[in-house]
Amino acid sequence: MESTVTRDGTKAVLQAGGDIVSTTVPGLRPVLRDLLQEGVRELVLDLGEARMVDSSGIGLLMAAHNSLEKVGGTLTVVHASPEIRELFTAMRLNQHLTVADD
Amino acid sequence: MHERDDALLGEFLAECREHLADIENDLLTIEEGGADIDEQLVNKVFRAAHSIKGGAGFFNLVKIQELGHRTENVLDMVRSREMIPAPEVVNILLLAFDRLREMINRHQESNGEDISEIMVALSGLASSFLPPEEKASISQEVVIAAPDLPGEIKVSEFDLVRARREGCYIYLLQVDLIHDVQRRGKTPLDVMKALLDCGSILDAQVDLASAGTLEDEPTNELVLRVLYASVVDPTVMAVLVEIPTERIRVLEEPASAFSADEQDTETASAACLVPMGTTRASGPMACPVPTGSTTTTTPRARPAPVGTTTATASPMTTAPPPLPTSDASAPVARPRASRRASTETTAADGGTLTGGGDATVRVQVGLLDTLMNLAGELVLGRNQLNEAIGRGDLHSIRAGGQRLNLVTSELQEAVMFTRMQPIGNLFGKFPRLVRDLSRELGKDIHLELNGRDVELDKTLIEGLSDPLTHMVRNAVDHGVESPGERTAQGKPAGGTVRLQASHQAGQVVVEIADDGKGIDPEKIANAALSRELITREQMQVMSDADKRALVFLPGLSTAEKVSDVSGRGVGMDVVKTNLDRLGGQVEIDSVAGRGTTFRIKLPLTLAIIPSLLVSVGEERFAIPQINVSELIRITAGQIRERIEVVGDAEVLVLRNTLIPVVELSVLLGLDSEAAADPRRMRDRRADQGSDLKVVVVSAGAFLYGLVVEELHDSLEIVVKPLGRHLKGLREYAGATILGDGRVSLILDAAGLAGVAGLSSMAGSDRARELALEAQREESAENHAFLVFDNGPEERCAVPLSLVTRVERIAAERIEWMGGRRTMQYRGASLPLVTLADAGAGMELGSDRELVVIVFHLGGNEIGLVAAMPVDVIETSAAVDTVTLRRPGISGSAIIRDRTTLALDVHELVESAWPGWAVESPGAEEALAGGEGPLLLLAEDSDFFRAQVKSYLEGGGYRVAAAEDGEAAWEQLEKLGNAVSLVVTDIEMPRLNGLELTRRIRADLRFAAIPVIALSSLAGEDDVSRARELGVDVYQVKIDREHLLESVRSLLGEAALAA
Repeated sequence: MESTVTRDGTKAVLQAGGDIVSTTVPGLRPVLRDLLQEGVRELVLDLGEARMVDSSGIGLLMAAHNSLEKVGGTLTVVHASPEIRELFTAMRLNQHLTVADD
Repeated sequence: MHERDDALLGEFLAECREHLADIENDLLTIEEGGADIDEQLVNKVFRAAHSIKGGAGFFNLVKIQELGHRTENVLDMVRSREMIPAPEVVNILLLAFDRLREMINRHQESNGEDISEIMVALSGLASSFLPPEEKASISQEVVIAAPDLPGEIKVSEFDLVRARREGCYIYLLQVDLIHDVQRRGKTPLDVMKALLDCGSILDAQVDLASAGTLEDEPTNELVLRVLYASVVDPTVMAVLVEIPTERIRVLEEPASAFSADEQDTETASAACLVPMGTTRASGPMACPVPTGSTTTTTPRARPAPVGTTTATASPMTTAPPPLPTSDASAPVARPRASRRASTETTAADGGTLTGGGDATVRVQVGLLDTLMNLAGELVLGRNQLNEAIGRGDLHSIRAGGQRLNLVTSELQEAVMFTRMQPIGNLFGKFPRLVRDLSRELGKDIHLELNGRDVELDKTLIEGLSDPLTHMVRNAVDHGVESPGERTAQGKPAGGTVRLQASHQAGQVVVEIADDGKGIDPEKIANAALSRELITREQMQVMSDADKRALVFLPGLSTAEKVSDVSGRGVGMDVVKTNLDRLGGQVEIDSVAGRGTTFRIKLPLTLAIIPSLLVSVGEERFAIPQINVSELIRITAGQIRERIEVVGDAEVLVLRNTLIPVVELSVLLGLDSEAAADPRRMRDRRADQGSDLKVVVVSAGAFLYGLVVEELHDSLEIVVKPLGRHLKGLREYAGATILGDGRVSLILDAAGLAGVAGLSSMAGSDRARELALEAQREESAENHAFLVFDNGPEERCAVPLSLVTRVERIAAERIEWMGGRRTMQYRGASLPLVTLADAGAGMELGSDRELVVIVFHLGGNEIGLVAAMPVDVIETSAAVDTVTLRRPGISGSAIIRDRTTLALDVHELVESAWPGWAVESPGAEEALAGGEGPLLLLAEDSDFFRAQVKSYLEGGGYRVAAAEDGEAAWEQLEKLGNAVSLVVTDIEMPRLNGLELTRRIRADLRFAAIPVIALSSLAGEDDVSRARELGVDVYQVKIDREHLLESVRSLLGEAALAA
């Protein structure tokens, strides 16, 4: 599973390439951190390949949200599966991050 | 979720069924109330839908959940008076609940069901009633603040109000996504789904601070706060979300209205009442739906130490709340704990969840205690006995045995109680059935249910369900007339069907009564006749009750056409079979135009039955006491008198009635020798070696005697079903294990009768004969018979009026002339006959004292050789002209408790001396008689001809007799107008009575002569046809008074006319 990043100025799209779970979060966390440090303010997380987001994944998303909020940036999630959307809705995460169709 | 115990699912399904069981009637009551809403009732139904929805969500039964939800919405609108429960609304709701029930019964496939139709119907209802102001509250928000809450939580007012209205708890849950979720190998999605399934998430907040930032090390705590509304009670919540109970906070409990409601309604689901601080021993049945389950009520109904209860709680209670325990003494104990009392089926032991949901039984706690005590007693008893046996102390052993005996009886009784269920459970489904059916048929029918509390063994309740349904259907469909018909008859337009259960003499009696048109016995009988289920002769002598009972005949009921005619009967034979299987009996009472009552009598239980033990050879058999009518021991000397041989069959004379007798060993093939020789009974009668033991067994409608070798004790036996491979044996109802460990088969009285070829119709034949006999006894006069013996066992009788003389003779006086017997008598040769000559009876023994009975026939004399003793008996006994009829024997009668053959002398002579008596009593002879009106009698049976002739002559008439219609016509031509009246049989050779009548009426010379028809045929058709042809009076045979009266009145009329 490879995550890929597409940069466009201060906007970056991170293709998660798989689930956002405890096994993948340690690898994703530095990538996100680096992106922020590189000045990305508009972060788009593409969950097209993700079937699952676990507690660590939520923790990562929230941490990214917190970091971005500090610098006035935004976090958007795209291509989330219906289940993941349902989860975000139930947890009201959509109040903090944008869940978009694409 | 999936690993969650199947037991939980089973419990949920059981709860659902329980809810659904009452719902129909509640809905119907709601419908009746119309706009005047009984809130508690609507609440009850609402909560039922709600619980089903909630539970279904929990188990991921999405379709059930969806439908439950939609149904709930509609009910909510009814409850809030936005929708009036008009019939069409209730209809859709009923359908929805039907659908729910179906899906619950097949819950595994339910997710694949297509429920769009009913969903659309429901939402159609909802949208057509939705008021505009409803939308307003959606936008309103309420802020919920809690002291230890970092932020405030905003909830839409609509959601909150709705949650409150639904009787929800409002929880604040704090879920640590790391510890409570991740570390338990779950995902947040699992948790959220579980929550969504059992309630609604009003709001949720992730504690952002606990998540840290990307720069921080990953936190090991991530808190999610959820404001959650659910009917699920706090104990279950802990299981549902698997978080420590201290992080489950109840912000609001359901409104107190529920407690009042709860006391009024039996079902109710509001377990919500219990505050968080209560330990509810969530035993194995701890249920996600908030309906009180037995275990949850248990600790409350009984002031048991709570510590015990929680200690035994199942692993489900993962975290017993560290909160003040129990309100064992608090007045929360629900009335239902006692009201519901003894039993109520709920579902399923863990394994078989797909079944009908009857695998478990609710048992009253008090009863369980009793059982426990008794079990304790049993152990003590065993110890006592063991010790006594060890010491070899006979006295103590006896005492121990006695004790065990006592305890066992009590234990048995107590256990039986656990199987008892109120019949109300069964009755409950009928209001819906009656409503739907009567609507469909356009009838207005009120259903009355009485005696719901009467308790019956649950197997009986189950077995009764189908027959009862059928009978109620019949009552509605065929029994009660349409409103139009009813009004036309001056009855109220609305009909009533009444179901009633009561205890009577150790039995349960269930009545299904309607006030409809009643069962017309004639219609039934004609229908049976047209299907050739009964013969015309049978029909003619049947009582009305017998005719009505014909509805239970298989052939009658399956034909649709007949059910139109008869009004009843589709599948009534199945009803009867089912009831027979339950050991029940059914009777019909019906008054034309007033209604019909079916009465079912049932034993209280089937599992343990008192039985009589009998034996044949080495084998012992049990006969259920309910089938045993009486026991008869016939001493060796009496066998001859009590057992009669009729053809190849034996009958027992039992207080003036005859009942068939069969030998058990022969019937069961235990005695191969006897089986090969059916006439063995006769031999035994002859050898008279030993007493005969007869069990008179009742098989439904009739009795028969079962000859056994030994009669033993009466015993309570435990019925064990036969294995499947033995199911085909009709003779046995099951098996039991006797005290000595041997297996004994239980005889099936009805089955045995079937195997022996004794059908219930035969029984009713007998009954009819008896009824007929009784009738005749009332109306008939005594007739004089000359009674004599033929063979040692053959008693015969001839009407005394036919006898000229009786001569005692020595055997040597009988001479053989050309192969025939004759005798010198008064200077001439008197021809002699014996019954044996005519093939009508046995040879006379040569050792007997003989007599010759001289008859005057056709102008000649003939002698019948018979044996002493000869006696003249005045009797009113009816002659049965069917059973033993053969040439020379016109029938049989029971005279002085003996079956006696009534001889037809004419036939007898005819067969012994063919052609001898051709010359019948001639017209000249009759004319020569002189005074009195001359009657012409046409009758082919000599017996009857002689009888009728003697009646008429006794009435002062002259009689010209003819043996058939043709002969009568000849005589009429000869006698002309001298004949004042014709009495004719209908069935005759050559020219029958009807043709004779036609000829008479067609001939101007005789057209005015009155005609009386005598016949055993009395179908309505026959009578009307005879009338059309010109018969003046149609009369059943041998009723002397009637006949003379008819003759008198017809002659009187004729005289007046002339």
